[in-house]
Amino acid sequence: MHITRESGGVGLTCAEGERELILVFAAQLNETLVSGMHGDPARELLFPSAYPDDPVEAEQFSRYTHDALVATKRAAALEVIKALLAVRNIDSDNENVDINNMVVNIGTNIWQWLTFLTDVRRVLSQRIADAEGGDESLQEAFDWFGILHEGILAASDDSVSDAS
Amino acid sequence: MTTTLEQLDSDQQLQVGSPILWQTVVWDDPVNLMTYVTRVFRSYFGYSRAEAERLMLLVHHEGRAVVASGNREEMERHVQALHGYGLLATVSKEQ
Repeated sequence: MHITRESGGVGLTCAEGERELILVFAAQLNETLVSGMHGDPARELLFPSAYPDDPVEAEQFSRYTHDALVATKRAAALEVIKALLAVRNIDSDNENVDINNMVVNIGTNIWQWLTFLTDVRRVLSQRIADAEGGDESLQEAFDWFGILHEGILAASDDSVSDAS
Repeated sequence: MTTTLEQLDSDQQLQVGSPILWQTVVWDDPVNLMTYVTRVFRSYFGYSRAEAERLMLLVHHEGRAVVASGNREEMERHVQALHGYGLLATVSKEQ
């Protein structure tokens, strides 16, 4: 995997298997968000309490903010899916492309990718903690998404205005 | 020159008129990377790199940091935004 800064924003070059991995997790996250997540432990992770010591205030805050947060998180997951599917379409249209060396256009949607990856890693961290004796493949995915997150952050660094 | 009575009056007003201050607190968590937390502080609050890093390190070493204070509505807006970024943030009364 390597991440580059291009004129149109940030580009991610990675192997087909890596693109499929992101796609699977993006689709899962989207489904989790659509499901309403009642009774799902991931709900508390993705939507932490604003008032941990006050259940009444916490509930009220959640009532006012939950739908908007779900919409934002879903929009991020869907943007990631869109960018990955665009590559998949080029790939199936052309026999001459190297499917393991194609650029996913993150463009200027940096925050959607960063927040999406943050959410995926949060859900993964819980699943790793739940797996008795740990789960190597989940841990590998968690670490890989962390490297991707750091890479996008580094590649987009000077595009953020510094208020100093 | 201020009379004693006026002085007393203004002191009272100060006491009565002081609103409770609220805070936005960001908590340490095992998922978020230090560089990301710093970037969120810079981008969302517009803090300088130095200030954002100072706050990030407070979160990292102390487990929490007050990143903003003001009226409650404003703090709830911050917390909602920070939850959008995937940070653990809470609203609390100023101690």
